[in-house]
Amino acid sequence: MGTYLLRKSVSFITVLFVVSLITFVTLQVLPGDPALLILGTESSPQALAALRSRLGLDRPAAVRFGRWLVNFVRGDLGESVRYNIPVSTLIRQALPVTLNLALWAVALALAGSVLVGVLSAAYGERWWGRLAGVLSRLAMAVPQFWIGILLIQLFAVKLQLLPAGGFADWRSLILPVLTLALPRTAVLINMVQVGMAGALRADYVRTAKAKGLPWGKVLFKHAFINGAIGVATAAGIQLVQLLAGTIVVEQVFGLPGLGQLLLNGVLQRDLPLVQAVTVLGAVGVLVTNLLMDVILAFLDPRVRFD
Amino acid sequence: MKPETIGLVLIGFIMVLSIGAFFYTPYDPEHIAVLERFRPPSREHWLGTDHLGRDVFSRLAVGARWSLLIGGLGVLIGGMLGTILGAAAGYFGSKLDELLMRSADGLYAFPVILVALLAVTVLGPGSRPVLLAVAVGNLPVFMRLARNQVLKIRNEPFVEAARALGASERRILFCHVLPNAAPVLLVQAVLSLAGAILAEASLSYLGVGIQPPHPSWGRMLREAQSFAGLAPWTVLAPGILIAATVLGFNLIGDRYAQGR
Amino acid sequence: MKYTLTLIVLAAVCVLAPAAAVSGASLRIAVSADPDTFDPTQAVAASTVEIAFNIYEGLVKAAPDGTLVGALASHWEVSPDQLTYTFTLRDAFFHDGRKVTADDVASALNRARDPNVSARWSDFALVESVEGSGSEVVIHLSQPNAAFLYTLAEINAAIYPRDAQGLASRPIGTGPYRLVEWRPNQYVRLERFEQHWSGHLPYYDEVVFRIIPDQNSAVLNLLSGDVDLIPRMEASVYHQVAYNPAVKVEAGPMNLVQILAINNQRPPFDDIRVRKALAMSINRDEIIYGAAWGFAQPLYSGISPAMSAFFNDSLADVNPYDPERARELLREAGMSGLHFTLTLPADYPLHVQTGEIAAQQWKAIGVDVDIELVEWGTWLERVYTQRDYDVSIVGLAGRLDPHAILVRYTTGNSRNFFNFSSSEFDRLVEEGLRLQGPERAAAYKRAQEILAQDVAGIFVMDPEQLAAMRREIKGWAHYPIYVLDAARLYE
Repeated sequence: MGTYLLRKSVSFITVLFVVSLITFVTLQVLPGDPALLILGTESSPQALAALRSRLGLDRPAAVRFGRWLVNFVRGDLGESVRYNIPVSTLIRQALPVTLNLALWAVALALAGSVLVGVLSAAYGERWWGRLAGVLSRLAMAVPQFWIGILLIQLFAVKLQLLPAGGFADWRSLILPVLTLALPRTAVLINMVQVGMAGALRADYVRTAKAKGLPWGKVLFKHAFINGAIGVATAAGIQLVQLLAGTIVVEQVFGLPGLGQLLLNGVLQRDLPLVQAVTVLGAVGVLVTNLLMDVILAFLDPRVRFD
Repeated sequence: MKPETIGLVLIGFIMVLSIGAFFYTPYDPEHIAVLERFRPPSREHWLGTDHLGRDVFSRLAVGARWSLLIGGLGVLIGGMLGTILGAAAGYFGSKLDELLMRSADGLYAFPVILVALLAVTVLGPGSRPVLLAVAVGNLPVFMRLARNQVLKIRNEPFVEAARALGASERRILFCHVLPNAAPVLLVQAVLSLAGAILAEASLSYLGVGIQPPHPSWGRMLREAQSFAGLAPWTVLAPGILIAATVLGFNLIGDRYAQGR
Repeated sequence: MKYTLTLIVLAAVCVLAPAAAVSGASLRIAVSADPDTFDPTQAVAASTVEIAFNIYEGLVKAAPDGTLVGALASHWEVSPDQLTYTFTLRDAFFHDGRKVTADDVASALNRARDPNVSARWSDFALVESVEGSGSEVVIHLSQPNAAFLYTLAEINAAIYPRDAQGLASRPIGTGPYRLVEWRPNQYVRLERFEQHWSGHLPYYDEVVFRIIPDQNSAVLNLLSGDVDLIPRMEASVYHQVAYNPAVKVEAGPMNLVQILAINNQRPPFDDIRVRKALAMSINRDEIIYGAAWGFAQPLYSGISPAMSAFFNDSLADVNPYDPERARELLREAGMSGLHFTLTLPADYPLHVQTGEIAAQQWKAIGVDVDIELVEWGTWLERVYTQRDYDVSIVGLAGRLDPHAILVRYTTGNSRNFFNFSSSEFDRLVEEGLRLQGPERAAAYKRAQEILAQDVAGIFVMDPEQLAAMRREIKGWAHYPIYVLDAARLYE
């Protein structure tokens, strides 16, 4: 387990470095001048030059990247070219929104998929097991933002029950969390079902049943664990997609989270901001994967000795 | 009715629609007639008109072409490149395998949307960054799949037999291993296509995908959102079509993926 | 007797109370973009000016009818040769409690005209010196400049303490409200400034500008009561509030000039016949209905009817809608197969939809148009700075003085991305600075005529500003510049 984690950590850091390098190189090549964007169309060439020099845009790229890297490790994420305040402040303000959104959606997706998956695998032959299957198929196919739009129309406009957008209080998160969780839950339900179905058919389960072990114990100890392994294997990818989905969902509901910050940063060529949020996003993704790998290793002894 | 049949029917319908659109659409999808705005579905306009008076049905039909083209091309490029790299990793193993698999892991850290946003900043919004993002997004998937398939197949008895008979490694790879891996890869391609269509729709919705005046499902939803209460058909039609297409591909892919 | 007295007092209170400032009343306003910076030397984004209007003041200030009133200056005198302006300062305090001195004023204005510091230094190019002593500030100009006073009303001439630092996020002004908190992407919170020089306190204790980029979201917030006012509601969502009894919409001209900008120096657009042909195939009614939902006034030159004193209202027939004549002109110029790219700023749906409709109108006379959407940063870089475009569409923001609006079209001006050049026009604009009254208006009217005759661009419309608010809110007034005056609102 120890070497396993060590290996994972090393690749974690390597990938992070590569990610920030790619991001930096990408953003250097584009047309668009951050100084012009900040000062606007009415500014003088002198003011533009002064700002460019203040932002260090006139130094060679390699130097700038090097400095950025060093600062990042120290925790200094630079100053936003657009808002003139430290990037870390912007991120700190936006992070709670996205974290809440993502974590609640993850919780909902995991809980929902396990619940529905277990029930439908156990009682799969009944009609509502199949119905769950069909519905989850559908939920996977529908575009996330469309669900969001429809939910807004139904709950915010017609029924006036929930707010339509913006981040006022916890009620503002209900629709976004639902929107985000739905497609992922559907996929995970599928995973659970497949995992459990496979487990339930296995010989050792039939043996256990034949030996007269209580059905509930069999269900939990063997089938459920296998189902959970199935989820853990797939969950990594699903959770990554969920994190990516926050960008679109934040747009639909006007939530001031990291996704909106990133989108605005990209459109404004706010290099320090985009750099920081992208790398942070990658960190989130990699941490999630690492977590799932650890859980998987915990559940499935076969993985540990790979 | 078997699920894959439903899938085939749906995809068939979409194909007919998009190919048929080459030859005939009830109206020019880009024709603006502001006095005809927000007409509900009727005999003249099967799915009504949008905020600029354009025929929704015609726009959906032409939009289908774009979605399928971009999705298909992206998956093709990413799939082929990924397969080659993955097969090489699986076949030649050791250092190359390590390197390629680490890279694949790294690429996994970049969700498709993120790649697209970075591509947009370089290339500007349009169909190219979407294509790039879909291709790059599929790269690690196919790399991994091809590698695993190759690892599985290279130790099969018939491959051993071929080796014993003196066939070169290259010949074994291309004539024995890859053809056997093909079905699995094709199935993945179908599933990836479903994801690509969703990705294109999302990016067009964010405003960084296919640009006006070319009709695009995602963009139609973006423009229709303001008028959802006034003209619900402008929001329902594109969404249903996207769902149908993605569902179709998923149903087909899943049926044959079970063999995995 | 006591009972009657109590009743009288109670009645008096009920009658007088609404006019008095209420503490605890909060006004929530939905705006679509974050401010960029609250440093007056850097601030140029419209979204910033809108909010900063309540925080900063200059020597003078704009009134809703476009005239100037004294702000930090109680009155001023202009010398007969129009070269010396003498302002008398009134007693006023900064938000940090310090008294405003002539030194602060001189310092702020000198920084505003410093090319190394200020983004809009060129607006103050004619200023030779600014000196302050006692309660007077004297400004010397190198040339007469009729527009100068208006420049002092703009955000870049705002007055702040001499040694102030970090104004970008912590502004210190003299306005009726002071900045308390700014969360980018979320909101900007202002609180009433109790020591404002006017002695009059605004009704609302607190004003919160909530950043809500999506119009649908803003409207839903208004309908559910989470927002009180949307100062610039898009016409496309008007239908969502039109029949709602709890909401009212105040419409007024925005003083914005939407222009189909043509690159005058790029062939074939350097041929006036081509430009005229393009102009004569534009049907403004269709565009106003289709893109602005009827909420706009057609324009035929560079000044909006909102500037009533200077507006030339007789230019509608210079390039009338005549597609047949347009075709003919193209044939004469040998450009019957004209094919060009229309570059549109993706962030502005109004301009994008205008472009889509215009492209179709041009297609009707045989011109082939490729639409290219670019996002704002690219637009600024490619179209505005490098002037690398064929035709584009943008909205030119209103200014208080016609000189600032017309100088954009003078030869060699840094803002002249249209590449328009007319020596007669240049002469008129320059003259206008030295003239006054009806002579000045006549010069500018002739200048507008030249813009229309020479087709500097195709002027389309001045879209109306739609302010949607709770029915109870009173005091709203439209300004000819992009500001929001929260201090005049009450209930």
